[in-house]
Amino acid sequence: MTTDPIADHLSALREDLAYHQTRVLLLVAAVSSTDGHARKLDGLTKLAKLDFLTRYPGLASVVLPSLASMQDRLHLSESEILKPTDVADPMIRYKYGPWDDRYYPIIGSLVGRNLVRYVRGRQGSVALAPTPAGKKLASEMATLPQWRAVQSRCEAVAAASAGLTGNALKELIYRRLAELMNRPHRELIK
Amino acid sequence: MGKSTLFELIKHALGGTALLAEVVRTGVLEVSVDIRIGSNRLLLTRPIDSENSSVVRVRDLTEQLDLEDHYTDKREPSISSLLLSSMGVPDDMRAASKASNSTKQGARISFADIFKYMYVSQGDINKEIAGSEDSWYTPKRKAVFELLFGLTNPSILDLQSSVARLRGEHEDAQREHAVVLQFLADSGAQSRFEADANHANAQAQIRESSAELDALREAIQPAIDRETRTLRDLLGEAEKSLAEAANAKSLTEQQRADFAAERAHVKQDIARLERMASAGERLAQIEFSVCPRCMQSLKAREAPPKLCRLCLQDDPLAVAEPSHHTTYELSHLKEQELELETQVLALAEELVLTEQTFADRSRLVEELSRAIQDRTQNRITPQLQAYTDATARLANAEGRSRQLEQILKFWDRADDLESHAAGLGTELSRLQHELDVSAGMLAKRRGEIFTELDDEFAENVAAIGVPGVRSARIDRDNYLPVLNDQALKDFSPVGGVRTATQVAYWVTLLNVALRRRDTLFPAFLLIDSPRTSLNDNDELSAALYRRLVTAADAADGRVQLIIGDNELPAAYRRDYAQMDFDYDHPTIATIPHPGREAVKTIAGESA
Repeated sequence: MTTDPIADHLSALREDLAYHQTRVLLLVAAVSSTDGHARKLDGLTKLAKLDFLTRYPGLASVVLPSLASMQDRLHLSESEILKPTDVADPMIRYKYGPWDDRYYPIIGSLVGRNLVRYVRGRQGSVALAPTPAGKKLASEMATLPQWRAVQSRCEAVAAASAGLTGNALKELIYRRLAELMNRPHRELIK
Repeated sequence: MGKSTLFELIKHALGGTALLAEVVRTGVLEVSVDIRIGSNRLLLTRPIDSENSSVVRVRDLTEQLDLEDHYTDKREPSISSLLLSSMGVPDDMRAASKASNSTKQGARISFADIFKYMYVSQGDINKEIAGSEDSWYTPKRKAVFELLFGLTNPSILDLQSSVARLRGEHEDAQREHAVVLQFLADSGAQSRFEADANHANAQAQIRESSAELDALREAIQPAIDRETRTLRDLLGEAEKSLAEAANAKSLTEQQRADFAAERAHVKQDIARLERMASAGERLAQIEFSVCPRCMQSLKAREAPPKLCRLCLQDDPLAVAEPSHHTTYELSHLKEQELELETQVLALAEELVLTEQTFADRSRLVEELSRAIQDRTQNRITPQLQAYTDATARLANAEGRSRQLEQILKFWDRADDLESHAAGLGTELSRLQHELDVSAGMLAKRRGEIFTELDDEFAENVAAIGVPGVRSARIDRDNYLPVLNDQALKDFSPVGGVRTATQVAYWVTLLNVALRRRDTLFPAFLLIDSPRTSLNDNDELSAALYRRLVTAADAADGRVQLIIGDNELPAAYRRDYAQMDFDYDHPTIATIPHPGREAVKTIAGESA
């Protein structure tokens, strides 16, 4: 254990950022490689909604009923089933539903490391697609025991959301999780 | 005011119900008659107005004393009693019908009944004899006849009344007895003997059922007390420990769930830390190729090791080394997870034990409940059934007993009624016999009197020369005239036959009575207008008056005859006391005659 608390904090901060970047990379890679998404993750709204389903796997099948048949790929623990909002990485309620303020630096870092690139999205929005290095890293991470379940969830969510826009996903979440969304902006979704 | 009005006034003064003319009601205050009756000489004064007319003032003219007032209504002393006793006739006699089926003791005989034998009104002279037209009055008319001629006496009349009254009571008693017997027959009641036997049987059943119930009560009570109470106590304890086991089980389950949830959180944290570490380790190796601030490429930039490729400053953290912080936290969390796992396992074992205890207690409660149920079912239920049966038998027997008691009461009543009826029957026979004996003693006198009456009547009828009559006698049964073996009412009324026969009849009764001197028949006769119905038959009229005069002559002053008529036959004028009334000499001097056209008759006939 180091005696330098600043170094410890910085280390934890860097690892936490790396953790979120890795998850987002896995999600972008899974969506881009799944049919029905035009080989990209189209828009930050869609990113936030799909990330929500990945981080709250117990609620995913409520929003997308087709996920019910993919329970194995979601790797749900007993407590995730019983308390679906009691998750390790909670999000906040913001405009258009669940959100995480770290998305901008995360994407910036992923693009800076040449793991993800910007591509043209529909109706002039920004979309994300993995670079060859990003695809390689994603496939490597998927082999690690720590990340295997996360990668599986990303793929399941990508498959179940095929053909759905970010706005369509937002509508589904508002409709099917009305009580959960009925809270003030910036409040933690727990 | 005419003759009839005057005669009716006499009747009124004697206490009778008279026909009072309008002129009397408006012009007369009271009427007085001076009479000699028996050994008494009385002045009777009676008001006309209806309010006071029930009072008769009486003055004894012999003694010159005012007696107390007498009454014509129900008040005492009555004028009727006074007049009857003066005549020597008891005033408490009743005229019962002698018909064998009569049940009425008869109405009391009053002076008014006797007065019917003294006064022949204008309305009656052509119609009836002493009320003979009214069949309801017949018993009284006959009783008065018999009384006056001594064909009966107070004791016989009393016996007749008693017989009739007893006959009524006897019939009532027999009817009531028959009704009760009929009721018993209709209600299907057994004979008295059967009812007694069944009642005894029901009483025995009551005793038997009561004893059975007592025995059952004693048998059931201890079983409940001793054995079931023990089982119930055990069940209570078992239920208490079952509740405790359930509490312990639920507490352990909750604890295990809490620990398991905590363990899940720790595992979640461990997984996140491990993901963070692995992600940090991998990404640290990937250099920025584009500046995340300005997005310019950094590929051409060379940077010495240990310097940041972006800012070219020293990297404060060693590359690819897991931080101490992460390692420490991870090991701490893993220890915590292990500990929680141990707790969860221990609680799981405890839960198994608790569940076992719970299952044991549940089984015990179930067994005890079943044991109690078996005991109550096997021991008490059959007894209860027997108890219910015995109670039902007792209730049934009591019901039957009450019913039979009611029937026996009716039998008692029937017996009472029967013996009462029998007693009345015996008494009735005795009185009837006594009556027959008394009547038998009078049979000889009766024969003599009727022979005399027949002879006298036949002679009178012949002397008067009643048209078309060949034979005449007095009926032995109803005491009325019989002409040519025909009752008077059936005989043709043509030619004044009725009036002539009536005069002959009254003269007959009077003559026989005067001759015999042993009757109560009054020596007084008041006849109103005998000529009226004779249709100016002067010959008949003359014969009639001749007979009356002969009778009066024969009586030698012992009789008073008053005849009111319009014109007497010339031969008899002035022979006797005579009062003439005409327009100049009205019957009451103070009330002038209104003239022929203004005359109002009192009975619809000319006055």
